Amino acid sequence: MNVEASEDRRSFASYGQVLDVVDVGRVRITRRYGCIRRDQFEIVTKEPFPPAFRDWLTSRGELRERPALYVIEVPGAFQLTVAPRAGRAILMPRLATDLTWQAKAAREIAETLDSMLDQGSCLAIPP
Amino acid sequence: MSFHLAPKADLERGITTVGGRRLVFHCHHYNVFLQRTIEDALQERAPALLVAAGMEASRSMLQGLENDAKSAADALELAADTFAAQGFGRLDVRGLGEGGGRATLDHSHYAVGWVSRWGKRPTPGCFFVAGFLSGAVAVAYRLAPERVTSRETECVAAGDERCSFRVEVW
Amino acid sequence: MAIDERVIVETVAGMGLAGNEEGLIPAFGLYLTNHYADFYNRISFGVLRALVRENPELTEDAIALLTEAAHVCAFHTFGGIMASVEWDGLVQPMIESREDWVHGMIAVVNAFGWGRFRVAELLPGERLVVELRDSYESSGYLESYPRADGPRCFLANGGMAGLMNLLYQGDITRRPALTEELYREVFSHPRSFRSRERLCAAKGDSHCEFVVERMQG
Repeated sequence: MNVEASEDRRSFASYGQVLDVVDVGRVRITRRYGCIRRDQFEIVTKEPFPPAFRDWLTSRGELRERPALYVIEVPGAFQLTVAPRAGRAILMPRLATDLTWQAKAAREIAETLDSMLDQGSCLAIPP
Repeated sequence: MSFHLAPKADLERGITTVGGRRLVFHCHHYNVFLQRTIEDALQERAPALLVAAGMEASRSMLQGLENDAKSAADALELAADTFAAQGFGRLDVRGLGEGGGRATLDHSHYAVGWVSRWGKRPTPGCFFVAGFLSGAVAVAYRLAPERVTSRETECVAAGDERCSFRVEVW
Repeated sequence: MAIDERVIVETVAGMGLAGNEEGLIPAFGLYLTNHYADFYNRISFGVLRALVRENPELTEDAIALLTEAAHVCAFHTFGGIMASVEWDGLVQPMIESREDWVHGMIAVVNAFGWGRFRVAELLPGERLVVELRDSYESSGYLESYPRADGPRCFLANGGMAGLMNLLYQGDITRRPALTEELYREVFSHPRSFRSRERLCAAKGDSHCEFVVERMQG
């Protein structure tokens, strides 16, 4: 993520406005303005997320799972809401974290997801 | 995080209650827009309505809390936990007692919501929270509600580091 | 119709929407509160009465202010929900037609504690009739005031207009950015939708009912 460019745009941004779009391999991150201390990150792929991604997230925080959805809470860090079949997730960082850290966290998640897509593990999702 | 009483949901009727009073989900856009509508319409009279409504609503919902708690201070902590579970932010009520005192709020839903929509405002804007604190102190210490007043002295929406409230017991 | 309301209501109700350690509820791309119906009713009916007491001719203006707040609520809350990951995971797979977006949104709202909505009639692009039982606005009104001389569910009424405007004026199915410009464009359009609360429990009806139609332009 281009933190400096995002900083310039966020000076005049309103809620939900796109600040930055970055592709990490096959994963697209869209950064939107949330408030002065927090941005929101949409993480999207053209294919479903692999089950291995869910497993990796589970090791990082508390999982709440509903049919077709799951939410990972990492206290002090972020909440990630995932629609795995839709290939879409929203990262909502905690207010206590700083903007640079938030962008790094989004990128780390995207890189991990991309590496799992490269391994073809999405094929493990049943039709 | 837990409520002092878990909300009861009647999914058939679309009703959720705590302490017999109804809870409804609304987001920050509506909350701060409705507040701004009322401030614009009533001008200097708006804070009194907003704070009184917060006090009455919280008092009704928290009624009985004092019987569940081991002490008044414990009741206030339970009220703060309930407040946080309802999505309004994290209150520190350790500076409050029977004679009033000071409370602080981190991550105020109203302040953060206001700033995200319109930027800073010239004066503090967490009126609901001020009312909630009056109601919570009145319930915890079994005080007549008219004896308790509360006002916000610092607010993130007005550019301060955190939201801070002064509660007075008359 | 493919929308399974029961599944949606139970899933949303079971999502555990409660504050995190910061005391905030991020969900549906929004920051939610599980707020006090008594608070909304007290401030909404309070501002209405204050303005009308000053000048009875301000009644329509006061109602217009509260309706505007409801339009903003619908635009951002319903719009945000329909653009959310939760919607993609839970509701989108059930959608077979544009009208299913209305049924899906009504199902989500039925988990929000506002009462129970039911679509009675939906004429695509033209008209929506919705019944509401146990409205928090009308029941709250009757707890504090005598029977009303007119409808009192300002939030639900404006919300239904907002739902139709999002779908048939703003085409939320294309996921437009929910900007202030789009809000003005959608709600100021001469053919945009407006809602009328034909029945209201606050004025003695058995339930509330909203009729949403296009303005005549």
